[in-house]
Formats: sequence, structure tokens, C-alpha cells
Amino acid sequence: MRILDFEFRRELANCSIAAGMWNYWDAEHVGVVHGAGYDDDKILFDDERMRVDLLVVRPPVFRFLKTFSWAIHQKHAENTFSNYTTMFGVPVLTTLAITEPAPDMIVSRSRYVFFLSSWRVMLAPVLRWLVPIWANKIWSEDLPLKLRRHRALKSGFKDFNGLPESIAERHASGPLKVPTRVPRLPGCPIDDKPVEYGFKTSGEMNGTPLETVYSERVIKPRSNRRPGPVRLQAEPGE
Amino acid sequence: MLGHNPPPPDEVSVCSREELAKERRINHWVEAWRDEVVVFDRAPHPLVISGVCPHFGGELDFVPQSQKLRCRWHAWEFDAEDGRCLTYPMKGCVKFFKSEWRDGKLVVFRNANP
Repeated sequence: MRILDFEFRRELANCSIAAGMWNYWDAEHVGVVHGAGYDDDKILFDDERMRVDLLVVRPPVFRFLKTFSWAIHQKHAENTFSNYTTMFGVPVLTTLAITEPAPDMIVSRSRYVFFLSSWRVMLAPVLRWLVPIWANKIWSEDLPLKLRRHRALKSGFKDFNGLPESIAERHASGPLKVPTRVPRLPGCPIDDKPVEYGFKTSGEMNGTPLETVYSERVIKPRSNRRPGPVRLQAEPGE
Repeated sequence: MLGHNPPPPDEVSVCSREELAKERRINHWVEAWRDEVVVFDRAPHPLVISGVCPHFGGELDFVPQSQKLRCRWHAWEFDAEDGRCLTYPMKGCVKFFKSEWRDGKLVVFRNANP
């Protein structure tokens, strides 16, 4: 077994823990903002402390190597979480901690640990080269989201409602907070599970279920992928 | 001091005709309004909106081909005429600003939200 360990430390002004953490827990943007690296993302389960995703990944450079990956996010505290996933059969543990040493300023520390075994040890030189490129690309794609989300939250923004009508109310009162289970509206394609399942219990005796019936149905997920950035139409002759 | 802040201005000058013709899209954060005024070069009159997507605060684009507004974060679409969300039924709408050309500058008015 060979272990590859990467750590990235980044300072960012005009941001907060709330905006930074929201960015990692909002799965809906993955197929749009990171559309070049991720084809699709489906949430199989999520609550306030955990999320399980099924991702379709396209790695940088080797984009033709499209692959599926599980991703499990586990929240430890308001500013820390772990992510367990695999890339080409290589288990990867990611830990992220965001601190706010000063108001409107964060320090983000992310650590990626790759566990290489068997023939995958040969991937070490490639990963050593590729992981910093990939990490920087994802960071720069997410950067405007973090900054803009922070400014919106500081302006009293309410999800699904927008900015308050009154300018006097456009300021945040108290510490900024966003739920870890990012709310979605019914019908959101990210909630389309490949398999829909259910447990039904018929009857009980002294509080003990008599029979549990398990049912499942394979469904065809809709894609999360949406069109890329908008290009303004050029005038004739331009 | 509290209570002595001047009231926010009712109008702001955002850009010139030349700037809009060149850039096609102008983003202007108006601190006094705590809002982002975004101007799109659309005939016959520019489209002026609050560029803050009511979903999570993302950045809105105008798609000339479909004549719709679309968020860069989650690709949600909005009607460019009345601001309602076309992707999901949602309470929040995109807000519009009235505007007029004055001495070659586009002046945007604050109290024009529907």
C-alpha cells in the first residue's frame, strides 16, 4: 500500500464559513459549474450530517475515461467535513476545514489522501502531477460562487425568495448560517435515484413487525447536465 | 450615526451607450441599494434586471436565442418578461428595473420592481 497525501491551504477575503460550506454541500451546481469534470451527480441520501452521491466523473486531461464514483460526505462540525470516494478504484479520503480568523475572511484547508494498492501504485506519478491541477481548477470554478453567495447572505438574501424588497432589510442579522442539507424543490433531477425502493410492513404483534416487504423499481435518471455558459449573440457582420 | 444616513438614491447612472454596445452586458453592484444592477444589450431597449438569482443568489444571463434568463450556477431559467421561474414553481421572481437613456447614459430607477 502506498499513500499519497496532498494538502492545500487557501486564504479568501469577503467570504464566510457559511458560504464556503454551502459550496461543498450544494450538489446541484456540480453538473453545471464543473460540467467539464463531472457529467452528472445524483443524491441517493442526505440529511443534516451526511450525503451520499453517485457521480459521473471525467478527470482532467483524460476526459475520455468517464467513470462512476460514489461520494460520501460526512459533516463533523459547522466548519469541517470528510469526503470518502474512489477514483478509478483508488480510495480517496478528503478532509476539509474552514476557519474564519477575521470577519469576512476564511482560511480553507483541504487534504486529499489517496490509498494506492496493487498495480495502482503505478498511478502515483500521474496523480502527483494531476491532483494539484484538478484541485486548482475546481477551486477557481467555485471561487465566484463562494464570494457571491457570501455577499448575498450578507444582504439578507433568502433562498427561493431573493433579496428582501426593502433596502433597510438588506443586511444579515447575526452569524450567517445555511442548512447543510441544501433544500431542493420537488422534481429536481438531482434527486432522481437509479433505484427507487421502499419497505412496507404488514401487521405487528406487541410492537414487533410480522412481515416486511421490500420492493424496488429501477428508474431511468434524468440528466443534471445543462447547457454551458451563455454566449451573447453576435451582431451580423461582427 | 444611526438615523443620519442619507436615503438611498432613487436612480443611478450605470453605463453609456458605447460601453453597453461594446460589452453587451454590464454588471453594476449598487451599494446604496444593496443590489446588483445588470444591463443586457437588447433591442429596442436594454433589459435591466437585478442579477441576483432568487434561488441561491447566482449570476443571471440573458439568452438571446430563447429570450430567457438563465442562472450560471444551476441553469434555472426565468421568463425575461415577468421574471417568474420557468424551471420550478417558486415564490421568488427575477426583479426588473425601469431605465431610460439620458444624455447618452443609461439611468436606472430604484422603485420599478413589479
